[in-house]
Amino acid sequence: MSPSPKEPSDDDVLIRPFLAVPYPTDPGVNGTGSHPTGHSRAARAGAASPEANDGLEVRPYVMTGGRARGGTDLPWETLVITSSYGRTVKASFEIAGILRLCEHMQSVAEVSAHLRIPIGVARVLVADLVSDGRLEAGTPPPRHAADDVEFIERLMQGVAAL
Amino acid sequence: MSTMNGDAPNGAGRTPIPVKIIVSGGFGVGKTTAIGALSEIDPLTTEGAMTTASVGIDDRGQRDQKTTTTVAFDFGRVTIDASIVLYMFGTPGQDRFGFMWADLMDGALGGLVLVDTDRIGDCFVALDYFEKIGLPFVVAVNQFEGRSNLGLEQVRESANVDPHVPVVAVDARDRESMKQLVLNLLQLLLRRARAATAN
Repeated sequence: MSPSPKEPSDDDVLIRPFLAVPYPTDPGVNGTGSHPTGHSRAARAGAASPEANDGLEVRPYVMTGGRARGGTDLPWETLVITSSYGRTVKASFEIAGILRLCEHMQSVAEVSAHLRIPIGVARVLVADLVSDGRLEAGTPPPRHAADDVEFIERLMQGVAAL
Repeated sequence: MSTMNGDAPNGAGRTPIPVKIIVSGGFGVGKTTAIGALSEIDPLTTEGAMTTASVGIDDRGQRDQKTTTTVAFDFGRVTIDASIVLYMFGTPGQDRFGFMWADLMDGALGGLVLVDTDRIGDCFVALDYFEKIGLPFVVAVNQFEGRSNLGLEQVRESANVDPHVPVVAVDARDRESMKQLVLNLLQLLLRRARAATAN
């Protein structure tokens, strides 16, 4: 990796310029399309660095018939399990792989990782399999769990007991 | 859509609630190590593929004028109890994949920003991003062995974060240290949730 252009020393503590540049005003719907590149303060500090970028030789949109989105946008942590119908019905190679993997409950992210399917494609395929009944979706990921005092307390007890 | 709850054919009762936290910071700061220290599975990698027009940028020969780039997200899983599964997702340090971040952040409980004091500027992208989307986070200074470190107050000064944001030390390799870090984040969430409830 390339060295940072600016190495902080003890004499010259690098300070993140605070609100020197206003936030971009085009966050789009639900923040999608928002993008941290608008921040020249981070860019000025040379913060961006190249990371692992392995080539993935797939044409993702072949598997989904060219669709980028399924009927629902499943969060990455959504849990799914193969239904009894999904266990018996015939399926194409890729789909059969998903149905086999999900005989034990998996998240969409785990489906993507284990089967080496890009996450966006995994979301579409899993959403389709849920809507045709071959996969069953678990409890949907809560959208505002961080605001739920009781839930956070339960989580803290659980983490402390790990 | 069908669900696993109720009289599911697989005999599943209520299924766990999946929640996630985001682990961010610069390249090589120890995000995957941190995830692995707490995860019950070896960290997995999910890839996002992005197709970009690359006319005049990337000569891929005569085949086409598009190139597929991938960006990797490492993640781990922690079963909290029968009713909660916690996922920890690591973000790539680079900011040009911000559109994938937005996709990942949806519904996240909070974030951990790992800092290497030798390259403190590497965490600024994450700080900027979490602040922008309003995700609560803790700044965690990874204590690498044998490295001289800035003090936590110097890191706070550098990072220029809100006084309510905890700045703590962590050993990303150590399970107990990572547990404590996640608890720090949850304590922050609890304070916020209680304050919001009181209003």
